[in-house]
Amino acid sequence: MRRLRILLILTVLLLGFSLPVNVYADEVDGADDHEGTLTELPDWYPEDGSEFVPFHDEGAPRVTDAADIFSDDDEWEMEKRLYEIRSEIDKDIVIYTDVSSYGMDQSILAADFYDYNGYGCGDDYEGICLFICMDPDDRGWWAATYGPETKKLYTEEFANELDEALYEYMASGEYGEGVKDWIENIHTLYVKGRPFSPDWLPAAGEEVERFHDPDAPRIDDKAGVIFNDGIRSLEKKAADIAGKYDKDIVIHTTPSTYGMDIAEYAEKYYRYNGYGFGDDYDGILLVMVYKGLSTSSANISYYIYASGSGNDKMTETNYGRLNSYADDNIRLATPGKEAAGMSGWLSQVEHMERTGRISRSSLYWAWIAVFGSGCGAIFGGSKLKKAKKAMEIPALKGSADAYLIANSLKISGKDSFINSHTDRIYSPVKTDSGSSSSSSSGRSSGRSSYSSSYSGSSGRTHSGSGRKF
Amino acid sequence: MEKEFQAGTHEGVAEMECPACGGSMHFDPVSGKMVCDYCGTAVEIESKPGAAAGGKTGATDAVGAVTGATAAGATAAAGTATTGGKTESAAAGGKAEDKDAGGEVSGFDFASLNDQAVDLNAENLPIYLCKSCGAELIAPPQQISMTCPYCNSNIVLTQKISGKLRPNGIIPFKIDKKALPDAMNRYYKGKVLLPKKFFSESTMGKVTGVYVPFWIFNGNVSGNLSFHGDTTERHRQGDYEVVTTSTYSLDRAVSMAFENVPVDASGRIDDVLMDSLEPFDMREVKEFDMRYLAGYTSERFDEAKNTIEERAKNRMFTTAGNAVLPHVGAGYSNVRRAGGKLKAELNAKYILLPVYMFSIAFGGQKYEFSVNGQTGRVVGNLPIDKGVCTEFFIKRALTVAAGIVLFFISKYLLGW
Repeated sequence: MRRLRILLILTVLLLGFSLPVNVYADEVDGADDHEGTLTELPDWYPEDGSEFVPFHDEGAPRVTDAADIFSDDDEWEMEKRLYEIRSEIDKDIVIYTDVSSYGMDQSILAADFYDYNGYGCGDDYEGICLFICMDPDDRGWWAATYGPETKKLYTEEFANELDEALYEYMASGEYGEGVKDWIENIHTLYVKGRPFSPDWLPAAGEEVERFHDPDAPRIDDKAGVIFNDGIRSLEKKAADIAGKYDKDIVIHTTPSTYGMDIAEYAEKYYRYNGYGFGDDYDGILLVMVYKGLSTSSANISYYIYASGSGNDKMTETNYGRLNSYADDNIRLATPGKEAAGMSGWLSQVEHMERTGRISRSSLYWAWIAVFGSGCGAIFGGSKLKKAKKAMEIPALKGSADAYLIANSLKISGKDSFINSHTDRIYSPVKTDSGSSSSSSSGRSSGRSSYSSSYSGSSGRTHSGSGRKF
Repeated sequence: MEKEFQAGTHEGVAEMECPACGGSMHFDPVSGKMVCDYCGTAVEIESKPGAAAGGKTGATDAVGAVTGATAAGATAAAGTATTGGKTESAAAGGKAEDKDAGGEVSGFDFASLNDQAVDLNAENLPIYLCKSCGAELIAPPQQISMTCPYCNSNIVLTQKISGKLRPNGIIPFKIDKKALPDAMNRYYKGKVLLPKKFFSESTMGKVTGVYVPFWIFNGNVSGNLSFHGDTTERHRQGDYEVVTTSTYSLDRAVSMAFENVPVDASGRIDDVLMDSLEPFDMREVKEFDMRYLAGYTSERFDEAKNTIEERAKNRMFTTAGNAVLPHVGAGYSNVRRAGGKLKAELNAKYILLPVYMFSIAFGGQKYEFSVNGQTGRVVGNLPIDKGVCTEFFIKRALTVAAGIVLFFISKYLLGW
């Protein structure tokens, strides 16, 4: 019994002395004076980062929630998803939260966390690390990228879009949902080359065989501007026209073109959703973009795409007139009247297919008549005035021009200065605002900060973006 | 057969008598001869070129011609002696002032005429006796020639064209009265607003050939005119555009010459009408011969001197201003007149010019017409029918309107 007690005391003593010094560091005099103090930096931070050698750590957790902002379920879901993504596309996505940035810039800490913990896939250590700082005085996040492919994809435009989407969650405290959404957007960025992409858009570089989909909706109201009754009647009308002229007639509304040019979006939408009849995929598509679901005409744009025999009657004049009609009757329609405008547009298409030209409204012809009458009245009036003048005796001659002897006019003289005055008119020269392009190491303007190139403590070069919330 | 013409005179009355039968003769514009109204005998008029157009300043003429080059100048006058020699005619009496800054007319005078050249007091009008029938004739003071209303003899009142009242020249009628209807038909062409019944219901009144008195001016206008003009220089200073405007005084000495500026000297005849008949070809002016007046009514000048002066000066000064402005403004913007003074040195010829006058009656109204007896130019006011005006306007307006609408319809149908 006595030997057992001594053994127990020794064990306790041994365990006590083996604990990390920094746990008690605040009780030890002079501990704060140590240089490269472990009290200032997180655990994972190396003592000497100058001799950094990149390494892979497959076993390191991809979610480090030091700030404890995620629920256990969220954290587990994230780990699982990040593992799946890593297996699928061989890209490392890392999440790190902490209560402080330890006196460093958030961008540096994000980069260091990625470098010093062995993250990154492949020889190029491709990946991205999202660091969320929950310091009450400096709350924000920074996403640091590494690897040529990741840097190339993570443009300032996409960074802003990703940060914009994440901000909505961060600002409302939905950290878990926000980060999960961010992870999916990064995945889409890697797979499709853009962070927000419609489901129908294939992955970047993926070859998709063209197909016909008779079941695809011909009135696809993704922007939600048409009421149900409107969709049904438009679909019927489109189907009638399509059946009569053997061309697919489609109207699509969307709140976004996912960063694509509207013409590119329309063409891909038509192609990858299986529209078009016959071998040439004959048809006509009208795309209406209600940016951000706004019904203000300033935020609405449109595009008409024709394929195959859809181009037969689509002369330059008819194309212009269809555009004008879409502009006047759909884009400028009062909210709630978009369906009526689209129905009118379908009628114009039908008229074009039937007669080869776009019909003109009664109002148009009325204006032509008014214009013609006006011109006629002006012409008739001037002719009448001239005819009346011919009926009268000319006015008394006030000059003797006809009696001036040719070449008798002699003029000589001198000019002398009298005075001058100066006016200063404020007229600033307009310069092109242009997009603010970031330099190789500069920070960009705007609500998100963006850097296309900066170095972490390890010396490796990263890019990234971040925002405060 | 041409015989020597005899002009019988009887107390200031000359009648043109045919040498063959003693009948009345008239001047025929077609042949340019005196022709007997009864036997058709034609007599040549030995005419010389008269006071020619483009007369140079300083030329002396038959009747009190003015030398305009110097300050001297007395003109054709009536009755009273000319002052002769140097006169400061323009300086004396009313100086003609340039509307803007003063000017003057020198060298032209009616030789101390009072305001009116004739005495219009009817009580003092002389009585003339017709040589052919003895009728007593009274003529308006300014009338030189007339036709006896009793026996149709052509009479010239010689007292009114003698001495200093004798015209310097005359342009004989060149167009026959009988050609007037054709001239009127040509005039009607293009007059689309005439009432539709005008041609069927209008009647041409009696045509009177009248020699209208004119003063034909030649001379120089000279003087100094001042203008102001601006130059502008612009440059940028940062966000500001600096505009410096400098004003210059443009002082110009000008001179120019005029010839054959006509001024109607008859107060009875409308100036606007006479103006509209211009131009007359002054190369056809002949030395005055009263035989040209036979068969026509003639008048002598009766306009006040100031009126004549004013009109001549205004026309010349206006032309002077218009002619100078384009030359002054080169290199400057916003050129405007700032002052100056012009003066005119003129001489004038008293010329009788041929004009036909008649009226056309239509719709209870008379429309007065004049025809240049030399060139055939017709002037006059024509009636304007409101209905025709409306139809005229509507046709043209509808044509243009229809054309425009058709254009847009074609554009639509053809898919332009």
